[in-house]
Amino acid sequence: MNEYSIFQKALGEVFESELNEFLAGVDLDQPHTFSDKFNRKMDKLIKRREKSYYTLISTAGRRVACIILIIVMLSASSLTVKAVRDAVYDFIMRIFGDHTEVIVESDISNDYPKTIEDEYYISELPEGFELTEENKSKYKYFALYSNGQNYIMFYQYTMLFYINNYDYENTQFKKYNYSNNEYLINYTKVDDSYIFIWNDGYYVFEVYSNLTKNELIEMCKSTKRK
Amino acid sequence: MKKLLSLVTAITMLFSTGILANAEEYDSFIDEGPIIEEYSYTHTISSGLAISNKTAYCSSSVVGYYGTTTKIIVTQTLQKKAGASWTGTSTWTKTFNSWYANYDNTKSSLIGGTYRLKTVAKVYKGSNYETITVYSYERTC
Repeated sequence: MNEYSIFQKALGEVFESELNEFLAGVDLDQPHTFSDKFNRKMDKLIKRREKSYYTLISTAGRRVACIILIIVMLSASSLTVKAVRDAVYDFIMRIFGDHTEVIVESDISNDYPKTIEDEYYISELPEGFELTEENKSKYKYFALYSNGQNYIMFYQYTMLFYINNYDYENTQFKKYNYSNNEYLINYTKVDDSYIFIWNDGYYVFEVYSNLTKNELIEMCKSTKRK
Repeated sequence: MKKLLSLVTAITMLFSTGILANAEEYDSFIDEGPIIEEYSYTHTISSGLAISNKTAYCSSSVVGYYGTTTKIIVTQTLQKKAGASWTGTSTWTKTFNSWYANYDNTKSSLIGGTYRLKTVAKVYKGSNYETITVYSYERTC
């Protein structure tokens, strides 16, 4: 028997006696009382584990991924709300050598009336203007007003039917936003006239006139269903 | 964990691409074809086609410049696709002694296939004129 094994034996005898003293002083019949804080934490863990989607949120990384996914889905779903979608999906312009083609973004045009179900008109015309010509079809409505010197031309199209080509060399396009509606404005110096183009989510409208831009803005705002 | 993050990133990029595509809706491209001096007397021209119950609704609009444009001759041709080319099935022509023109026609009892409306406008200022050709969307009967 070497010195190390003698030491081990002596050490064991000392700890054994101390352990026996400790065990003699412990009352094992009394149950342990956990703190309130510990109990709350345990209850929370148990309840979380009982949830049906626990596997999706069981780790911090998964919880972060779920939050990001929810944000992305909410952002995408906002695009299906009509008012918000109209602000994003509007007219598409393609510029060729001598003209600009304007159409409605095709992803939304299938959701709107296929024919003209409600006729629209300019409710606030400047004084002196009278209706001089009118033309109706299933897909397009046209009205011409005149005071003998100036003209106001009004078109209403179904979304599917609308496509137009504008002179590129002599005209320019700008955008104008008013009350959640976006207008494309085409101006030409040739006869100092404007064309306002917009849609209300159901139809496409055009107003041509050689009146002032502000007068046209007021007329466009006053366009409503008959 | 890495697979899940990759999937989330891919979905995020997919939706971002969609929004960016719409943000670029006013970007333009230039046709590579030759520059032709048209649209001197023409402000706008459109060619519209709708097909419903084997009936084609053809509509052409030409707006010239008030005080400049004096006459517009509109010729509509309803074309049917035949392989890689188009053949005319019906033609209508009308003269408008005005600075604008709205021309509507219908064609019923269509045979199944793909159609488009070709609109040719001769737009006059006095005795000078320009010829502009535009096409409608293609429609299927």
